[in-house]
Amino acid sequence: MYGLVNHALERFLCDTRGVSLWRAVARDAGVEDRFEPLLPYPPEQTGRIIAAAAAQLHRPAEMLLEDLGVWLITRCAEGRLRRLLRFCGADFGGFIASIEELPARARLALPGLDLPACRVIDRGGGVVLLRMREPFAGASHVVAGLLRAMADDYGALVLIEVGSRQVTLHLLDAAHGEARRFDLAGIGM
Amino acid sequence: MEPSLGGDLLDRLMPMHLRLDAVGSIRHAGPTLERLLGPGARGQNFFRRFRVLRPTGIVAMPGLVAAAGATLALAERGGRGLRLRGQAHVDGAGGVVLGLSFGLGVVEAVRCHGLTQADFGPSDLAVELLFLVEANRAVTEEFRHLSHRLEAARRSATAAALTDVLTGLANRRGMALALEAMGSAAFALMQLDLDRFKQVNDRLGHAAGDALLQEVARLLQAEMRAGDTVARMGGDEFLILLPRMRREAEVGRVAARIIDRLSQPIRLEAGEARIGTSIGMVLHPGGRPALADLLAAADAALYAAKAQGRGRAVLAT
Repeated sequence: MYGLVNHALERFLCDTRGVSLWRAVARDAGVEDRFEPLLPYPPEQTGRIIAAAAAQLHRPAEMLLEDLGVWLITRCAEGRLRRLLRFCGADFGGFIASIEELPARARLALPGLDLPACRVIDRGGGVVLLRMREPFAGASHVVAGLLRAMADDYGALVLIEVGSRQVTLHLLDAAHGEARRFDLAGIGM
Repeated sequence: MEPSLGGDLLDRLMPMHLRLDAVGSIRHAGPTLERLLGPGARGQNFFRRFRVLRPTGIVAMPGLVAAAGATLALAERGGRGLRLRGQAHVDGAGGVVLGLSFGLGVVEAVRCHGLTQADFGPSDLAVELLFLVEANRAVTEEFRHLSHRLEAARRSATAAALTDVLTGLANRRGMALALEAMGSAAFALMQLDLDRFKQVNDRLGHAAGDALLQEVARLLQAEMRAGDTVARMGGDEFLILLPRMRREAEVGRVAARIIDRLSQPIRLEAGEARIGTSIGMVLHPGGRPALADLLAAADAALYAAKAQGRGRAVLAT
């Protein structure tokens, strides 16, 4: 999984801040400047990359990771992840309810891809708690960014708070805006 | 039929079911099928609208009732030409209820008929299957990219291992491979080293010496045919492989051209270099070569050329 995460950080930083910044980050972190998403890497590299990027950009790591989460949905690989996640639910509520299934879905797609387990706790009144194990520090901020972007995609209005290993969702309006079009068959199928 | 299992409930659980009455008329279609079959379907005879592909021989209600519980394969006559699979069960009133799905044709069906998540029942794994197809494609593509990148890396590593870093010519290993690849074909070898290279190095410095070697490499390649291999064997020593060259006069002409070209002054950034070259030549008429003997012969010819004075080419005897 760390190859995937490091590769995402690489693509995110190259795409939004340029290749030279990414090279500087890789150098500061003492890692290679090219990650293969499907190959394994030592877990500790991820934290070093995040810290180096935050230092280079003079931004808190949390903000950077949340931006990464949004980028994964809106920009990464022509929105492919967005499409895969839209399969999880017909509306945002269905999507949230199916988050616990995500590790199983990920394993279906790629055996050996171990996403951390996540618990979805419905507190009622539109408040949903997501508890997760963080495979690297700050992972819940990436999840918060992902959820923010997916809520936008479904046209839902939500308020998101990030705590330690926990994200709280306040679903204010499930049909606030128009959902982005999602075609089951996709493009080129 | 229990009233509690009415159409509404069945519609939600199985949006792709059909109800037939005792004579085989379509009484009701679940919402997804209703949309796909169009408004004309209700009241139509099932067997006029569908052909039962399997089990074979089912053309009327008695056959369908007898096949209750078996896996059915159906093809729509006309319309969208739907291909469906499913099962029939008797409803207790002489008719049957057919639970249907697209089976493995779901990917195709979703594309052709513009289906959405709402078209599939809650326990239907169609959407999961679509997810899997798409995820699978993404992963496969990523693996394909990975193997392309690894192949490119392998190629460039191999090329680097066979290339002289300074000049970009083949190195010893590159030449050995090129010789091996000759099999039992005829070829000529030319061994040459530069006259007065050491003086240029001493006078203009090592950087100029390197630049000179690069320029010589460029000149040598410019004189050669496309299939020839020029290698820098080390220092100022070069070896040239000329496939299919059998005649003394021919190889002599190439050598004379090289000697002429390298005897002209070469302009470098650090100044002008005046070198020259001597060449030892050997012809291999074909058949499995004894490489060590050929190389030794070329080397001896080069030695003889130098002994005759500079700027000479000698053919090994």
